[in-house]
Amino acid sequence: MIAARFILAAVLATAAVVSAEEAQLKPWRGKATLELAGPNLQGGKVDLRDLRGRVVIVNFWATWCEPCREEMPSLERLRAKLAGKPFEVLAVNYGESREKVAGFLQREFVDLPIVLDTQKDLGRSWDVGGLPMTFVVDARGRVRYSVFGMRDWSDAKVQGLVERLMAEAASA
Amino acid sequence: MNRRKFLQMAGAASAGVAIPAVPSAFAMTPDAGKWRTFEVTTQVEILKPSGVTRVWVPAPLAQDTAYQKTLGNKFEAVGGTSGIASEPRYGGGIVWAEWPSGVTPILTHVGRFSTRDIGVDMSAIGDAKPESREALAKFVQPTDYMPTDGAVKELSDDIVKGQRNDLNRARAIYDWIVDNTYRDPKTRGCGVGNIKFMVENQAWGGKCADLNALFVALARAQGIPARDVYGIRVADSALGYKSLGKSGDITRAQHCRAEFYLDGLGWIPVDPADVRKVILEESGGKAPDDPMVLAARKRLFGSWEMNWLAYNFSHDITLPNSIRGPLAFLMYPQSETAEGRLDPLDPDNFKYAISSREVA
Repeated sequence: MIAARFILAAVLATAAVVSAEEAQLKPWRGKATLELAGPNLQGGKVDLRDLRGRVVIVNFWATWCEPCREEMPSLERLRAKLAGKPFEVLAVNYGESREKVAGFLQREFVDLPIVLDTQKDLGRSWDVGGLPMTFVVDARGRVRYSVFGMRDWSDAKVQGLVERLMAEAASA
Repeated sequence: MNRRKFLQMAGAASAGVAIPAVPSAFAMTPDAGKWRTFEVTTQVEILKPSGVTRVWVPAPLAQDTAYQKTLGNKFEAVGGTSGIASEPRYGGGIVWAEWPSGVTPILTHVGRFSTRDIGVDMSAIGDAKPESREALAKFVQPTDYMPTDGAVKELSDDIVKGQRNDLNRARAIYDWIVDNTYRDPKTRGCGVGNIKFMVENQAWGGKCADLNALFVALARAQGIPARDVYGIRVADSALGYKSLGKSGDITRAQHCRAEFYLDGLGWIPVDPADVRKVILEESGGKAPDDPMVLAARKRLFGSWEMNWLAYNFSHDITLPNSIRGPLAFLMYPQSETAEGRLDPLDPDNFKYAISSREVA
């Protein structure tokens, strides 16, 4: 029975890298809050704690990761759709140099808030074992969902989830 | 030249050298071929040094085995200091070099070794010299990336259900990996070998460091001694598999394999990841029931074509004088500057070339 479940999951996991719809958000069962602080491209510092009150999507990515590159425009679209609302995206580059990341963003016209994790320390503390790996953090700083694999972040399902988390914070 | 050091034999007396000459339990080798001798040259250059620069490269296997004998290491770090150290837990040899600020760091390492094909006859009761329980203990323990409990144990138990002995359990694990995982060409390098992540996320795509480490973790979860063997391809395959060999420039030919241990038979070679490589890459891709795939599947449970150099069995390695944390495994050259650890797969910062030459 378990074998059958794993085989089915393997099929789904395979599909996850080729179909944006298949990588599904899973409720997070790890440590409730995780620290995330690191340099941005401009030499400043980004700290997830400073974003309390906003729902944050934390996306671990790298320039060499094809599915990461493919899903980035959908993160930008979601950010644009929710502009002005208590929402943010942090695109955490996993293990690459400032120069490499800056060159990529300029070349690919990507405009997302970047956090550099040159030494992969953040990746380790967030238990990132593959890319893209993305987390949804609620307005209280608690990690609520995670997903491994590419997906369309601008679809109605994600937008609905983020809006629900924003409403949850507003009513608290 | 005064900094040049030459080690004629592994274990030879030399400053900074601590490679144990450990006799190993040789498995039966009915398919053992003739010994061939190779030299593998690794040259590393750090393009953007900053402060003190350190480089580490894996040396050929420090222990003699039925399939490989290390004949010597020669290394040179002009303007710096260098040596060879033994990683304490698994005995893996590590060539290290260090340069002060202002020097262009270039390390050249030449490893010489002999190798021969190996096959274990699993149909007979073997008389291999047994490994001690103490020597085997570390090969059933979890590592940072390879837990043997939780989801890994659950999956392993499910795979081996109904199997009555360790040979059949190992075979079931091998078959499960061949049938349920896939080689993902998008995986960077050889993969990271994070089996906890792989199983918990049911992410069955990867390369050798993932798929063969999965074999090791699932076997260890059954209490079967198993180990990853990190290395690099050094010659073309004589068996007709273009995807399973590389000669000359082998800079990107890193490949790890796996072994498991049975009393009487000793260490038994396997390589389910290479079965998936044949399926993905051989002649543009092959069906799982293609005769070439079936032949590889049969052969790679119990034998290895030794057109490959074994480096080490090591996990969670603390590199000598490193300022960073442990490394999951050492198969690629590594380096650190004042900026931290460099990405060995980033040719903009970290340039290296590895070449292989058959010398006898």
